Amino acid sequence: MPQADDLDELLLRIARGDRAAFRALYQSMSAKLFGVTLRICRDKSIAEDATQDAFVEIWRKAKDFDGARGAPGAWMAVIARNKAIDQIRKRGRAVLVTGGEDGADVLDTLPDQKAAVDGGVAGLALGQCLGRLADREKEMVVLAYCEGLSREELSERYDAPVNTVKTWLRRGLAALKACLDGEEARGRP
Amino acid sequence: MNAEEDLDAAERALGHAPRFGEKADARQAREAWEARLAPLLDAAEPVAPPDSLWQRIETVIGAESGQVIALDQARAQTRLWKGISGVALAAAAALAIYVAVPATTPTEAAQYVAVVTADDGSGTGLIIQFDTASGVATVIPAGASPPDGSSYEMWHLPQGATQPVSLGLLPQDPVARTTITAGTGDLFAISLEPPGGSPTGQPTQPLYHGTVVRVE
Repeated sequence: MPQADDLDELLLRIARGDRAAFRALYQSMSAKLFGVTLRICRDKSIAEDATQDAFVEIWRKAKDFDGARGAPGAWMAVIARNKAIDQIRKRGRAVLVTGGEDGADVLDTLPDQKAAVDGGVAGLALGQCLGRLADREKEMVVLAYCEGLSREELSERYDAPVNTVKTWLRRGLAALKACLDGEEARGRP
Repeated sequence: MNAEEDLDAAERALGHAPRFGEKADARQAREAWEARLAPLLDAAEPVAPPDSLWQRIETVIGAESGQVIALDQARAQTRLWKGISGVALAAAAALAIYVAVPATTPTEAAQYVAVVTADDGSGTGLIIQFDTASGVATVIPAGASPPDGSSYEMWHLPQGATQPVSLGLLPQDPVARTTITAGTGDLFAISLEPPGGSPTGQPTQPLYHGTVVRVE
């Protein structure tokens, strides 16, 4: 995985229209971003479209990237995720066949953020705060964010009305934010 | 923003409500949620995309980058166009019209232009128009004469190159050249030199620069 500093530098050059820097960024990040979109789209050709949309947006918006507001790898991963969500909301997607996933694999990786591209502190805090939520709310947040499950899909999965899903999610998100704000305050010198 | 509105933003971040039509503070709140949850994306296993994906992306970027740069450039240039010569103004006006009406039906022949302006923003020194159909570059000097005992020299720095190439002294009047080939992103510059041109083969005192943009 490339270092955040290298990605920062590449984005600066891309903002000036540097195509070679864009090529280098693609080589560094395409497998990561394709992985993010594939997990949501579950179909290679739809995920390719989403990844293409993501890189085109990165090219256009490189000048808007602000390193003070977040790490470059996370900024790009969020763009890819949003493009994947746009694709599946527009085109639908294959039904999840495995069915047994509950987001546990995602949660397992959170405490191990030191190896990740964007540093560990934010991931560690997120992992701790998600861990304090009720299991069902935690799983729903993770499945919605990482796999792009809609309220309707969550409703089916948890056998609960859509409005109940919405209520659970909002409660979970509110608790998550309160916890993260507390973690941030504790981390301050 | 109250707590309920912030949770609405969280729902948009999750993809449970559309992002379209957000106001600035709503967008910021949604982006803050995206950043909070972004570490979850680290768990996605990298998967190499097919080689064809890069080609597709490059095609889209290549098709639009000329126009995007042209618009940005045109906005910057309009502030500098006051006080330049009539010929240059005509060329500038043509550029503005081309940019204001982006081509929706691409033609085979493309028009490119480099507007070379003073580094301190004080005026335009040179406009070069390229016509790929005829292969002719029209060099239109637009600035004042060089100070007594000195010359202006033109330079071309192709995109990705590190050393500029001299195009000779700046002409007094518009000239057509067939030896200048340039692509989008190439840099043109004018430097102040001793009489007759640079003694070293490299610019002595660069004063003006501008990049090539597609205007078709």
